[in-house]
Amino acid sequence: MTTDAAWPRRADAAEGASAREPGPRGEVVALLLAGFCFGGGQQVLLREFAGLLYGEEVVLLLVATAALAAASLGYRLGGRLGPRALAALLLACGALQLLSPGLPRLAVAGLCRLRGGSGPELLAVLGVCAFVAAAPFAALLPALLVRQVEPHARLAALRRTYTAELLGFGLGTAAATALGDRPGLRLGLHALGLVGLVHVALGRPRWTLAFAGAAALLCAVRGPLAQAGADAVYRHKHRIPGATVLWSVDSAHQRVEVVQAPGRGMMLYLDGLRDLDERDLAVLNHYLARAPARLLRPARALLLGNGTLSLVPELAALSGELLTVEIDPAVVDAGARFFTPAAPLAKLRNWGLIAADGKAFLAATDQDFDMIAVDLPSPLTLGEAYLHTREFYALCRSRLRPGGVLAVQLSGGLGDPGRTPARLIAGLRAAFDDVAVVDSALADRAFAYASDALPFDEADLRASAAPGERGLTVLRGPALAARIGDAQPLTLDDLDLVLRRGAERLRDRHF
Amino acid sequence: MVSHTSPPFLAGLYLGLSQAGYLLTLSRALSSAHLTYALVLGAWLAGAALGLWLAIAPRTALALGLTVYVAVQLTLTQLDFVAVSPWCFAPAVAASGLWSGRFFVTAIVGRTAPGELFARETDGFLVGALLATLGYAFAGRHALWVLPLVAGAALLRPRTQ
Repeated sequence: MTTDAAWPRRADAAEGASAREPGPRGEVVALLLAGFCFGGGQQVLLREFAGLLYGEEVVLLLVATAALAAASLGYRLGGRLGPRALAALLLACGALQLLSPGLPRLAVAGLCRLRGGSGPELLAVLGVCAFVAAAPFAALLPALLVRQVEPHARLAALRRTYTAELLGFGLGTAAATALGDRPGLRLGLHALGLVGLVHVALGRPRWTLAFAGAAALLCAVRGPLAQAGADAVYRHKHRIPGATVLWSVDSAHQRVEVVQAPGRGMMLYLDGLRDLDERDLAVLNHYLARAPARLLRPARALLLGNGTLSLVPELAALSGELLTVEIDPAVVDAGARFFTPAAPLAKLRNWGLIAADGKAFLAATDQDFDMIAVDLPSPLTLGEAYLHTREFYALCRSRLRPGGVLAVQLSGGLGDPGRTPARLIAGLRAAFDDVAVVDSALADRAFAYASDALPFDEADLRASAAPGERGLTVLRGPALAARIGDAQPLTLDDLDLVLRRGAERLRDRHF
Repeated sequence: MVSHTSPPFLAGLYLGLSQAGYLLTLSRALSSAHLTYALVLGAWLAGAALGLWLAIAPRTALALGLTVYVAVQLTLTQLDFVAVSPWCFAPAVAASGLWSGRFFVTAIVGRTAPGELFARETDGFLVGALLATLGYAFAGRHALWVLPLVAGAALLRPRTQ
């Protein structure tokens, strides 16, 4: 028998708490609800801070670290705090969670406004929010188990309560993910879980009533609170004067936001990182797909990414058939609402849309293409980086018809051989025999075209410059090889660039 | 005297390496779509819950989970990308998660207080998940079977107390 004197017996633990204690069934319900709120809270925390600190892989790791460290602290507190302290922890953290649609954003925006930019204090906000989202739920399981002194009773309690918590965690995570595009409903469900937990775990009807009243009030002000928080973040953290968030949803993959500002038009942000700016869209689309498609006139073209669908009407007109493959339906939704008029899309008879990961689609399909255009964010997460590797380019080549062309935007201008654009070019050169690069001053980035034998030359590309181009450099063959020097391709087994670059950006922003 | 209880930090380290290893490998080779993440998490939780109730020896559950894990990793290591549904790997993920439940069943009646037990396991899980990501990014896909194999072997090694 275990006789650790630090573990209070059931009767000792209840001292000082006049409330009714839950029986075995109540414990199961309490842990089910705790798991539900725990899972939902983690999902919301991840999306919130990926959006606030920007969704590079390093930030995702940082948020996951904060969440697990907070859970660990919660477990320790659960074994040490008395019933009153645990009740206070649950009530305080529960109330703060119901402010989550606005509070973290307003706190981050306020700190940025005070400093005039981002600083390390934002990481402290993450720490506090992670504690609020995890600690009260993690604390419950050990708090219940510690009351069981007999090994058999403790084992039985572990089986029923931990099973309930695992089940609740899965359900809470699934519900929060599925309801990311209905934030009001998501918060309402979380509030219901919290009220139920307060009722079952604390057993004080007056506290339940008071908490339920506060929860109803906070759910009612969710909309204005979330809007104020989102606008404040773009005005004071992103430093866009007059910015207004027109649309904000959490997809299963990322936070998708459409922002409008005077003189800037509409912008799409994915996990806080600007994906596109209405002002830059035309020139970006020109070099990525319009120029090669005009030269190539593909019978069958494939667009990977480009969830905003901004390329679709024109590329469909230049191609026999066009297929778009986009992983995130929420980006497609944002595109159809704000960036690409729905009417022309509805009339297209030669265009199809598939919601899938680009590499999974290419690995599974038996179709081949005359042109593949890859319109993806920079390799700042592993998931994005897979689609910038030498192996992925080789997969693309295997799905191109003879003379077919892969078009890629290189996430920046040609620069140092260690930087992303040069490494992507090295990957393309490793997978293809013939690669040409255009570096556009107007687009402020470079684009690459790769093939077994490009059906156009440097003069064709110069003649295809975008209207208003201020300076276009075209490189191919030995000139291109000399320009990228000893740059190494990104490969599936060499993705440290993702973490190094993310760490650099995080340091530059916060330290 | 031979101990049958695994140190919680090491147990968490192994579990973190394995779960993150599944996620990273399936995301790379199969699909980075949300289904992969949801499936790994769901199957893992189901395996862990099952492990709380199944009357299977902890070392057997650990050996089973480790064997299945290494088999999946070695198979997918040979391939860059493959057109297979992530659902095919759900039983393997659940089998590896099984030991998580068996571990807590054994450890909860030990000398470590429940709060400390869960906290140390979570600390280990955090370090394991970070190590898996760093190992993959800096050393490539082979890190994802080598690291859990080492941690699993350390857990399988008989300990005296």
